[in-house]
Amino acid sequence: MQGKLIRKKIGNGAFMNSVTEPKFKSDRISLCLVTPIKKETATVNALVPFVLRKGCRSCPDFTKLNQKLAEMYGAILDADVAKHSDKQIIEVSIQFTDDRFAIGGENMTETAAKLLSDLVFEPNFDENGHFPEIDLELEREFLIDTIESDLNDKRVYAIGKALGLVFENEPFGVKRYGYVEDAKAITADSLAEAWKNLVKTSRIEVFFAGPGCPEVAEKVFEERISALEREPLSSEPFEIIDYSPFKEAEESMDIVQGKLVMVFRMGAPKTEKEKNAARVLSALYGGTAFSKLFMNVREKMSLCYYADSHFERGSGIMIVDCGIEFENREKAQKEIINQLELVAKGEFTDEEFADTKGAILNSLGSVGDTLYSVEGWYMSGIVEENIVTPEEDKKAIEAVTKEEVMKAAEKAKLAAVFFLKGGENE
Amino acid sequence: MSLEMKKIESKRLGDCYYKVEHPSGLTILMAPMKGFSTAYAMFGTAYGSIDTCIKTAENGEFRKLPEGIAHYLEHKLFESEECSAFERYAKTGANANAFTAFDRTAYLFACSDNFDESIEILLDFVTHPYFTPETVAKEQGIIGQEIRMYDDSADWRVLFNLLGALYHKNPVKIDIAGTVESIAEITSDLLYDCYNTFYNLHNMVLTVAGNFDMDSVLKAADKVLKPADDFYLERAVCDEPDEVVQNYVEQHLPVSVPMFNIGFKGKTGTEADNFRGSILDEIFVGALCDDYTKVYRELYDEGTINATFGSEVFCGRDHISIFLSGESREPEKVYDRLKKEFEHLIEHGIPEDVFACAQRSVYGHYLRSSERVTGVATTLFNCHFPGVDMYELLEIAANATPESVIERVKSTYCAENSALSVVKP
Repeated sequence: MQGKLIRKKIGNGAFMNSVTEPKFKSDRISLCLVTPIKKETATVNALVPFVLRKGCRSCPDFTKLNQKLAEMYGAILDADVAKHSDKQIIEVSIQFTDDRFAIGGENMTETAAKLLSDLVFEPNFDENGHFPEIDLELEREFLIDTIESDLNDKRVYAIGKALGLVFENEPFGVKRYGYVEDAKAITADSLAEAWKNLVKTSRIEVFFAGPGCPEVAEKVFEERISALEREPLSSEPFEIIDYSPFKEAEESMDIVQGKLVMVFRMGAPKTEKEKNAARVLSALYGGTAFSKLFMNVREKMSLCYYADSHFERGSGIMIVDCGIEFENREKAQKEIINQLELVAKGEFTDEEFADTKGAILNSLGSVGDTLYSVEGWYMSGIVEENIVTPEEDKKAIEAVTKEEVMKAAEKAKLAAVFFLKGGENE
Repeated sequence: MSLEMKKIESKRLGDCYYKVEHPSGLTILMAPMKGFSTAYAMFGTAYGSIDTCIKTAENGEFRKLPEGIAHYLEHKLFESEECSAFERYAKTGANANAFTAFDRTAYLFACSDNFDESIEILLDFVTHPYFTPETVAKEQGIIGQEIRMYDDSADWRVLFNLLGALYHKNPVKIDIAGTVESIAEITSDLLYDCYNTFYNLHNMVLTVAGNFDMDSVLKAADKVLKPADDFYLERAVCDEPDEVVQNYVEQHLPVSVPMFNIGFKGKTGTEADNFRGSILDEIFVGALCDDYTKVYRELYDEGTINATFGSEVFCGRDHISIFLSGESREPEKVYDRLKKEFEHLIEHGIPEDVFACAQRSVYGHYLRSSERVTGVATTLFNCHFPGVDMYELLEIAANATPESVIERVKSTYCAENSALSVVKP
């Protein structure tokens, strides 16, 4: 079953997923705790991976842990939090050199799987059942810095602001790393409680990709998970809102380039067919270097260096953003709207349409070529509980018709505009 | 026509690649990779933002070129009389791009289908320039916005402020895209002039990795490439002192936490020396302050650095430096502590256990880059101009000793020749 996803239940609400591929030289194992995203728990949950990364009972010292990883030929241990549609995902992953390239013939897979399992399930608690105080202090500070670091990249900052306008009370509006005020309020008790809750109630997804032997890892995780007290939450259905009232905001900052972000509601595409039409639309409109926005807003009008559009499957919205001279805002905004209207009227050639699909198919063809993209592809399907292979997805994209794309463009309605302009910081 | 194809192998990796000297003057490096679906190709020249003063005849005179012209040329090369290269690639589905760095420019694409058509487009558009005063003028607005985007980027500013503090004359301190003023001097004639100088096939390389047929590459080369003329190019050598301009530079920008870049300025050797040496420098910098060291732990536990802390060896044709970067509320403290540790290591050597961590990490890094199609094509590309074999990098890492690393660092760096750049709110 080379290159194919194998998915097995290994415990109550726990699954082992693997894709074996001999062409790689390293393996990657990720352990994900998948939980509904909620404003009240998002921040404390976001702190969990950062403190888990610091050590575990079998290796309590942070420096020793890093030494161990370095000795494993520079194994990379990442711990972070992700957001996918209405889910928050606490992910700890390790990428390591495959057994074949270990100079001393070490069993790298087993070592890595055990370490990962120890880090997530056997934290280095003190006698009060708390994470070490220094880890709480330092990582809480880092979490606050991370929340605030949106500001460092003005493009990210502006998109965040625009999304804030659109999703006021929806799960998609909850921020990935949470909120500064909530981070300040985290205590040793609330952090330990959050970890316990995650381990008990979240869906556990283990993902293995690489040339090695997933069974070795599976055994490690199966044993560990069977010993846990588990009460997984059933996933609650959620609905994408079709339209919302238009909102607009501006902010001034000491910058030289303006950032314009426009968010469109797509009329809540529900079926796969509708979602795929929206994907093709977004690519045709502003997803390639021959798209409508690239050819007109950039090439013809010379207004910007980038003008991109992006469709988010999970929340059913399309985001358009560009960096422009402050005084060109009206001009850019008008043209961006105009181009979408032209697409809705069917003013694109069969050739442009076929080329756009070709670009999507080409990128789908490369999914299997890095461990990271293999994992990313299947994990988003797993989280959405809709697993398709890149090959199946190719067929679905091929089946999208011109009329479906026009319809998707017609249904798009501007939900919010945010503009970051120059001037004194507000 | 049958061409000599040289096979280069790595026993350690079980990998190989092929080298062809095409009659046109172009060197072609190809690494077919079994099991992969994607092919990645890079076609480029040893011409970048630092090539601002050149002469093209032995008895000619040195001429100055506007800052940012290599990057401008990269943008304009995508156009032809009929349509842009992007529109041509649109027919093949390939994902195409290009970049200009300090000492090189590359045009590239990735594809999982229609490789034969895409490789022909790549070779064709890069060897067929088409510039007119109108098309050149149009790009001023687009590149102007690219420059402004970087002006607002704290990451970019903290780096270029550091380069300005480290280097007196070396053009590496000039922003790659130039300035809105400098690009205003660029004309279509000047672009042709630079094109004809630097885009000589003898000064270029084509690297391809992944899923493709080597015959297709050679066929496309035979079809598209015309033998290049003799080639004379001399770049002005700058007389860069070992010392830095200043030890500290800061700028205020809207950021959440102060960001810093620390640079240890090295004495440049030949391009190949810099490149080989950079592997040992990477091991050294790991032993200096990677997350398994005592210094890292101390700074981390004090809250002076956080998980954003990282390092890089900045290496090119006539520059080599060690860069350390991150966020900190007390960047001076980080700088001070690392300078002391730098001196300590040079004086007392690297402890065996720390060395083992650093060496294995660097080894693993190069091993992992050989399992990615993009990694292989990029490494082949980067190794070509310095004249280093790609597989040598892994061997340098595997054969390094604490002594060889210290000897290299001692002869190249001095902790005093360093600077701290800070961007604060």
